[in-house]
Amino acid sequence: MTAIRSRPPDRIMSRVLASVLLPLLLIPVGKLRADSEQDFLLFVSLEAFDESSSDNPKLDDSGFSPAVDMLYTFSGDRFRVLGEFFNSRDENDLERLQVGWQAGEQTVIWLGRFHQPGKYWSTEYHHGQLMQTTISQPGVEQWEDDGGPIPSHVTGVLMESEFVRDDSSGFELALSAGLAPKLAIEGLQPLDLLDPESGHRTAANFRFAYRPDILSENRVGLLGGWSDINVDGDTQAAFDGLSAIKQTTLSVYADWRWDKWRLISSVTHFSNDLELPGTTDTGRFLSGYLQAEYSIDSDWTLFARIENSDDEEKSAFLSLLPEFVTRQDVLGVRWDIATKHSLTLELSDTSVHAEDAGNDHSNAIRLQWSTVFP
Amino acid sequence: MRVKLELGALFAIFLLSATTAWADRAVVLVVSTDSPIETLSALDVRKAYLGIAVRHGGQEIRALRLSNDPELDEIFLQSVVAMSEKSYTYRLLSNALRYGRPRPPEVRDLEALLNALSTNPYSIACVWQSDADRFPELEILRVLWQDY
Repeated sequence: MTAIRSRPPDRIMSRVLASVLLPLLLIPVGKLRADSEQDFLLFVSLEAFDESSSDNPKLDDSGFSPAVDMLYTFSGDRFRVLGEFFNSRDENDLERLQVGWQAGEQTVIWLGRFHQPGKYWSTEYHHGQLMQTTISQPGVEQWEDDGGPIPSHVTGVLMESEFVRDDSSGFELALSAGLAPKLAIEGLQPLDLLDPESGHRTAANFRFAYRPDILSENRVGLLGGWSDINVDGDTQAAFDGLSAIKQTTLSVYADWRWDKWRLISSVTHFSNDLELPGTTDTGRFLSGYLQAEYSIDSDWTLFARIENSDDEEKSAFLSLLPEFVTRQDVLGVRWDIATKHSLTLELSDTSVHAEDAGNDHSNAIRLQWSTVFP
Repeated sequence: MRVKLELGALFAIFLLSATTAWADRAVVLVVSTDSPIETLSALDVRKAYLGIAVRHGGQEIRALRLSNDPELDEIFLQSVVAMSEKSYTYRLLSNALRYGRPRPPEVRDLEALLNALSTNPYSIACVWQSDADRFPELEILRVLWQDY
């Protein structure tokens, strides 16, 4: 009893989740009820890339990057399971493992590790590379373990609800609360269900969307979140006296299609309180992007994206994330070879937050094949 | 003159029979005869196939697809979901990624479809009217497409 009390709450929670959720993945197909459905998807991509920088040789890189994302979903009468495992050159993670309960006609309550709803790109495409037109993500939408500034993975409770009106317009609302990533030597690190470590604090997030027609994909909305990010004792930041970061974000976003055009845009306001001995260093900045896509025909799509930030050079928080993309211009073309196969060419000119508070520039060319099975 | 009349009559008979045959070509929405579903609007049919939750008596309607007939598939895409194959495929993949909703089950043949419909009375399917007429265990809810 004493031993259990002395364990950190995040470790107890992860063990409870693992013991409840992992056996669900072992349900044999033959035992499933007749009114249930399940699906298994395998998103595969292979990317060849070449990045070069005249400012910082550390940014020079080239090679091949294969990635596989496995998604399993199960839906019963009132019960759902979702698992997503992602494997790439740089990571090998159980990205999502959630069990859901249909609490009302249009409401599902999930328990587990999920992609928190306060980011647009990660909740739109998750790790399904084929689903996004571009190869790269905007810097502000990067996964937190790839240098992104907003926590993406939270372990706890997520509620998703949809309200459909008589005229077929609708609203979507998602609320979540749980354990936030912590700042470790590698950057922001979410709780790993398969190898849980202590030291995670809390996060709360929301997404609100208005959809003029639920049969279409058009939507506009608000996103936000609050995260209490603990700083691991092994990091340089901890030696410098930083104990925690309290981050608040608020974003507006739009994803709109008409005729042959599609526009995706999001602007996020950051407020980061860095807790130092006897003082709090508060920094605020803006970061956003606008992506335009034009379908030449059903197989060919041209795309371009501009990303920019404001006041980011004063942010002490961003100095902890040297990979954060402050500015980027992206141009490319996607060819859908078949319904589930695409080939994409992308050129980019990128600036990252440099150690001297300036910007390091780099250029990259990428070629990617992506698909999904079955 | 008589030959011309005979040819004209033959042509008229041919046209009449062809029209009757084409009029039989219709795609219908069916449920099992045990199903409590008595009616379903075209909008709800479209929602169900797009993976949007449609409920009847508190139960979610399960949309099934026959996957062995390219012509039926084409009509389904044009007249039921009003999307290209690519857009429909991406919409269903997106539902799985975003909301954890599995893609609507595809069944290989009519026998498997009949079995699936009778197992879950809240299931719906799109089939040729001629097939629906052959099986008394199927009830037609509405005509989705007809070739006039």
